[in-house]
Amino acid sequence: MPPGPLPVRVLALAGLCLSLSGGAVAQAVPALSAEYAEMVRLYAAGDSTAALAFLRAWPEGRIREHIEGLKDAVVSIRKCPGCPTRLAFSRFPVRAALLLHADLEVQQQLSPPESEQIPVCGSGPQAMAVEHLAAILLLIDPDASAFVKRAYLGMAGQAMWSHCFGEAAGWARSGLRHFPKDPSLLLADGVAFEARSFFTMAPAPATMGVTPATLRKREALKANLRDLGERARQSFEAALSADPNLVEARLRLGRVLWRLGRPEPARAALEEVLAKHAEAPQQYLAHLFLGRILEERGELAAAEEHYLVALAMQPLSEIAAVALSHARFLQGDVEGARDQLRAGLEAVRSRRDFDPWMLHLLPQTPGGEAIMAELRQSISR
Amino acid sequence: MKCDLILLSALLAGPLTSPALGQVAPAPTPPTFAVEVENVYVDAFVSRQGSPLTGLAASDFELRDNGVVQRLELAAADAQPLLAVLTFDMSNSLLGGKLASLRAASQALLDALRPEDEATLFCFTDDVHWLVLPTTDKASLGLALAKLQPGGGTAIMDALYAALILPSARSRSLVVLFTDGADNSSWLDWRQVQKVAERSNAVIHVVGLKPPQLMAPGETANFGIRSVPVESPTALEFEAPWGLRQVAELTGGRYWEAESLDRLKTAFAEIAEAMGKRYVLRYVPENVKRPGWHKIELKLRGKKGDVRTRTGYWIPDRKAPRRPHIQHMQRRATQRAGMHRRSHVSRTYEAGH
Repeated sequence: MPPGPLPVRVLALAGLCLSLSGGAVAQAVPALSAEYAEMVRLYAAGDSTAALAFLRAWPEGRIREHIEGLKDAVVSIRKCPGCPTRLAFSRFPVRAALLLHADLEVQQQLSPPESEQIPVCGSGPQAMAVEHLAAILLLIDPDASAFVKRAYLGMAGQAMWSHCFGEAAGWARSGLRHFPKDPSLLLADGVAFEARSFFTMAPAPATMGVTPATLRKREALKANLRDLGERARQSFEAALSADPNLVEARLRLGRVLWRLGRPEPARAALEEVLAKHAEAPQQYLAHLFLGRILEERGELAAAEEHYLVALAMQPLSEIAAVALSHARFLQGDVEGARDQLRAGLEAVRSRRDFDPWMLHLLPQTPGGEAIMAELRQSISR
Repeated sequence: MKCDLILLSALLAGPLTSPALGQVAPAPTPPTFAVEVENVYVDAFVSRQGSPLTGLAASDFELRDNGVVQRLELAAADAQPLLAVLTFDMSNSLLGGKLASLRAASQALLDALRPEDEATLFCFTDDVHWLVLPTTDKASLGLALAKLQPGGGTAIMDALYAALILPSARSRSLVVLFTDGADNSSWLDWRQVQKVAERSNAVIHVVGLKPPQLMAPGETANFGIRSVPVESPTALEFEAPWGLRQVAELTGGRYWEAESLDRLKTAFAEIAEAMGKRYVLRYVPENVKRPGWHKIELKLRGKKGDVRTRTGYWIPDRKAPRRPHIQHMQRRATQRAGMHRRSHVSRTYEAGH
C-alpha cells in the first residue's frame, strides 16, 4: 500500500471500529484520530509495513500536532483519572501504538550497523511519541510495567546495535525515569557509557613541544573519558545494589575499575564473578581480565594460569592465545610464545561464532531487536 | 653459551670475525651464538635535507651503549638478506578504492626487494591471519594481495605483535604495517607491544592513511566512526597512532602519515629506498653491564646529517628464575575450565559485525 492519506473506505471502516469500541469517546481526544487509529490497527494486525508507511508519510506539522496531543493526554489523564481521555486510551491499543512509533524511530534515526562505517544516530519526534505513550500506558494499565520496561530496554539495545552509544544511554535513562532501580536498565545505561568510553579515541599524552592550548584540550578530553568511565561504574554499582546476582554488571564493573586505574577493587569484583559460577563466557572473560591485572602487577605466572584457563574454556579464542603468548614472551619463553600464537591463529580459522571478547566490546547485541520482536508478538496474542 | 632469545638473534649474532674497524664485514651467517662474545647489529638511516646520505664509513659514526662509546665496524647492508613483513589492515574501512592503492603500493615495495630477500604477509581485521609464510617468491605475495577482501574490525596491536614474533629471525626484519583506522579490537595495547619491539631485531614502519574526515580527539570512533571534519592536522593527536609512532621510532623506523591514496605508494617506495640505503653497524658491547635494557645513542662524527636508529636493545637475564612446569599448568587449567559449562554464542548478527 503506498504511503499517503488513508483511503476514505479505510477511514470509514476505522470510524466504524471506533464507534463500536467507544469511538465517540476517542474522537473527543485529538491524538486519537480515525486515521491514527487505523494505522495502529493495521500495525497490531501484523501489517507493520503499511502502518509504518502511513505514519512516515505524515507531514512534519501533523506529527508535531500529534505529539502535542499525546502530551496533553498525559497531563489530562494525570489530572483527571476519571475523565474521557483516560477512557479513550483505555480502549485504544496503546501498546501497539508505542511499538509503531518505536519501529519508525529505529528506521529513521538508527542506521543498520556496519563496522567502521559512519553510523547514523539521533533522536527524532517518534521518540517523543514513545515517551508520551509509555507514560499513558503506565497511567492507565497497572499491568503494563513489564512491557514498558522491556520497550526501553529494547530501544537501548537497538541503539547499541547501531553503535549509537549516546542514544542507547538516552533510552536507558528514559526508562530509569519510570523505574529508577531496575537492574537491567541500570546495566544498559552502564554498558552504553562503558562502550562510549572504550570507543572514544583518547588524546595523545602530553609531550615536549605541545602548546599549552593543545595540552589543555587534551587534559579536558582525558577528563571527559574518565567521566564516562565513572558514569559506567556508578551505573554498574547501582545495578548490583538492586540485584547483587547480576553477574554481567559485576564483570563489567571489574573491567571498568581496571580501566579507571583501580586494580585492587577490580580484582575483587572479577574474583567474585568466578566465585558466583557465572555463565561460561563470563567466566572466560573474568579469567582474561584477571590475567591482565596480574600481568600488570608483574605476577606473570599467575597471569599465565588465568589465560590458560580462558583458553581451555574457549579453545578457538585468538584473544586468549594472544594473551597467553604475550605472558610467555614476558617470561622469556619466546619459543613458547611463538608456538602458542601460531596455534591460536590457526585455531581461530575454524571458529564459527563470536569470541565473547567481541560481544563484550559491542554488548547487548542483537538483544534489542529480539526484545522488540518479543513485544510485537505479545500484542498480537 | 647459546642465546635463547630468538628475537634478538640478529642483534646478538655469531662469533666475531673481527675485521679491521671501518671495513665492510662479511654478511653474517644465520645466528650461531658465540660463547662469551655477542655481536650487536644496529641499522642506521642517515639523511641530509631529506635525502639519504651515502658513502659513510664506520669511523663517521659514534655510538654509545648505555653511555659508553663502542668500537664499530660496518657490515654490508646490501649483502644481508632482508625479511619484509607486510602487515595490512583489512578492516571494513578499506572498502572502496583504498585496497587497490594498497596493492599497488605494496607491489612497488616487493619490486624493490632483491631476489634473495624474503617477504611474508599478515592481514588483520579483528583476527590476525598469517597468509603467506616467508618466501623469496614475491609473486605468491602478489597473488595473495589480489585475493584480499576487507571486512571486520581492526586489531592493530595484536597484528603487530604477531608480525614481530612469528616470522623466523634469521634475516633482518622490516615490518611494514599499514592501517587506515584506529585499533578497536586488540587485546594488547601499544605499551605491551613496545616491550616486544624493544626485544626484537625488527625495524618497524607504520603507514597510517589519514581518514578523509579526521575525527576530533574525543569523538567516538572505531566500530562506529562518528567522524567530524576538524582542522586538526594530524592523526598523531590521538593516543593510538601516537603510540604506534613510539613503537616505530624505538626500532629506528617511522610513522608515515599518508594524506592521500597517492601518497601511499610514495611512502612504501621511500621505505624500500631507506632500507636499501641503510648502514648496518656492528659492535661487541664493551664495559657495559649485560642483562637488561641498553640505551643506544648514535650520531655522526664531524659530519652533518640526521641519524635514525633504534633507541636501544634488550639482553635477557639468563639467571632469571625457572618458570613453573608448563604441562602441569596446562593440566590444571583444563581441569578448572572443565568445571565451567560450555556455551556458544550465536553468529546470527554477523551482518553487523
